[in-house]
Amino acid sequence: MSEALWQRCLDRLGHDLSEQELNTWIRPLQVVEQAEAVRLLAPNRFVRDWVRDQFLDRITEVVGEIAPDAPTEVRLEIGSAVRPPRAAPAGARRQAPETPGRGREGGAVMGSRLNPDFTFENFVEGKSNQLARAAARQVAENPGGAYNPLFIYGGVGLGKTHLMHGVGNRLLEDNPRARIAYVHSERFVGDMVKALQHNTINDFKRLYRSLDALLIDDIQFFAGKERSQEEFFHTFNSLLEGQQQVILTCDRYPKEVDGLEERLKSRFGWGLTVAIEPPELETSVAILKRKANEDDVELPDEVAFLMAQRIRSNVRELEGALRRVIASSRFTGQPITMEFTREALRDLLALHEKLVTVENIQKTVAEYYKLQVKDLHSKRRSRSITRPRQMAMALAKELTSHSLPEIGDRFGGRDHTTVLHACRKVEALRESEARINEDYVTLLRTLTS
Amino acid sequence: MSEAGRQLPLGVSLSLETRLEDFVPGANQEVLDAFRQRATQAVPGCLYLHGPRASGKSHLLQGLCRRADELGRGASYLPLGEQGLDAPAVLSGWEALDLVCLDNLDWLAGESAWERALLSLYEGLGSSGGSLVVAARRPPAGIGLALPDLASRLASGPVYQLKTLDENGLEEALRRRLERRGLELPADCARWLLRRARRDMHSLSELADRLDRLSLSAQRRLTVPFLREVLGPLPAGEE
Repeated sequence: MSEALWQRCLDRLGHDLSEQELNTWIRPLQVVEQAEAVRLLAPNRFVRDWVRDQFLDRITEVVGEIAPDAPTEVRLEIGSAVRPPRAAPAGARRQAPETPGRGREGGAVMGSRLNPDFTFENFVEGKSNQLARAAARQVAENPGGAYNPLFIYGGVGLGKTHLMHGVGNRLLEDNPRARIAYVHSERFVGDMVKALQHNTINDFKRLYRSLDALLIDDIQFFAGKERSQEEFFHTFNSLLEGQQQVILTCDRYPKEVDGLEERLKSRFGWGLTVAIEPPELETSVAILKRKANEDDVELPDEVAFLMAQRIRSNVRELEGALRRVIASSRFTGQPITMEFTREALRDLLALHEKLVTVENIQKTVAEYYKLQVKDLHSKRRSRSITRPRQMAMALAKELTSHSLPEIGDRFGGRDHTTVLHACRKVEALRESEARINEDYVTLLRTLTS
Repeated sequence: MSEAGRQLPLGVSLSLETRLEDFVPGANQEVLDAFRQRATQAVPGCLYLHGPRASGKSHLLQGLCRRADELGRGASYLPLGEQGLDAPAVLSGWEALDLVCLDNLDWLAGESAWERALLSLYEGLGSSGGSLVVAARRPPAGIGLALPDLASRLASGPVYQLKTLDENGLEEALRRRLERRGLELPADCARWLLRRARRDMHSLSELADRLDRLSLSAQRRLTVPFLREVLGPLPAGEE
């Protein structure tokens, strides 16, 4: 059955089914031309089964009415085919617009899945990410060399994926024939499960082991998935032995990932492990300015500072907020000013403000250090309590607009000089003790994400 | 004459409010514009829409889906939690489409297996250049997602808040609903109805359905006396 005939069947089905039923179950089906049967492809077995149980009889009837010469059997299968643009009947439909760069997968052939927008050139460097960026560049220049695997870890939305794609894109630039694959670990697991179901696990293995570079994102999602870990372990070993590059990202240091086999954790540390941290204010501002510039938009400094100060959680969300502001500015034709930005991001900024209160900070810090909030208010001066209290005060100064006396007041009526001392102490300790810095960064992220 | 006890035509609500052209934007013109753009063009990444219950989110998502389909683009509308869409694996395999619209996102928040399935869908669509549009009652950071990775990704594109309609917007929304059902709404009837109707989009659709049935059954046009007759008077002092 042709696409045009199927379209007429859909129009007819529209008389019987609700718009929601059509949008959810029927329109996503793809028809495949075949002599002996009308084949309809569903994206997964749930859709196939539901359509079979609820609508197949009616579909078969309609096919018989619309296309009496078509085969009488309607087969529902799981799968997908490249969707051809439809012809436009009598003014009702237009040709689908071209969708450049719309890659599709088929069978065992895997595209690189690299995002060409993530390059080294548009990665904004700051103190928080310069080590990771330098390591990634080294890997791009010398793949399969000393830094194998490259393990990049840090919180969500800080640029790990960007760097990973940056390496992949540079490798492809240097050698367009290189076989490079970026895959999210959830996707790796999903593909593996499919391969097991369809008895194509050997193709799966061959595919992954034949790569010149494998980039796997967010490997913390392998936790607890033993079969996937096993398969990945062998793929990993095979690639490393062949001096093919492996790059991994994770939200934490490899040894801290619960549910990951020890042998994997250990191997992940064989190459180079680098951290990427939340950007400092200046880096966030630079990122915003750069992104705006790429979109030919002039972003005033004060607006960039406003956004960077208020959206501290991560770069990805910061960029999302910028996209929203730019879209609004283009839509309304208004320039991007402080007032305009506050209005465009009102709900987003309100949410961030609402979450970060002194009370919330105290609660989060107390939980983190396994204390009670009342300990932070108390007069006790043992180090196990003083340090978390200072940390909470420093965070309160950083994340709220309260004055120092107000903050002191909320910590059991302390003087503002105590708050000031706490802030300076935490700042100094962050420089001298990595652990304290890590605590601070983790708490900051928790409170602002 | 009251609605009860009368012979009413068989009522089948055909969920008519599913076209972008029927959406009354009010202060949401920018949102409507963004949806129109996603219907006609390949815009990779995620668009996140939030607003209170019955503010028009499903209308926009379904309208987007329908419009994209009319243009020959592969699109699906998945209202999470509804019958048939109640297992995480239902989110697999949609990457071949140009556009996936997920409604009622709040429903999966905090459910680890669902969140991971959505993360996987997000990544899959990202790899194939597809577009994801989601709707929820609150912004990404406010719906209680357990996976920070997911919350962050959903906030990586434009996040729009759907604002409620003012008086004129509500009147226009009711008028369009009735027009779709072949009924004209005189201005005095509109004022009369809006003083007693609930002001959300679901209620306006239900009201339009009800008026359609009543008008058909009585073979009468909409007039204030007819409305008063079939719906009953407003409480004293309000009419």
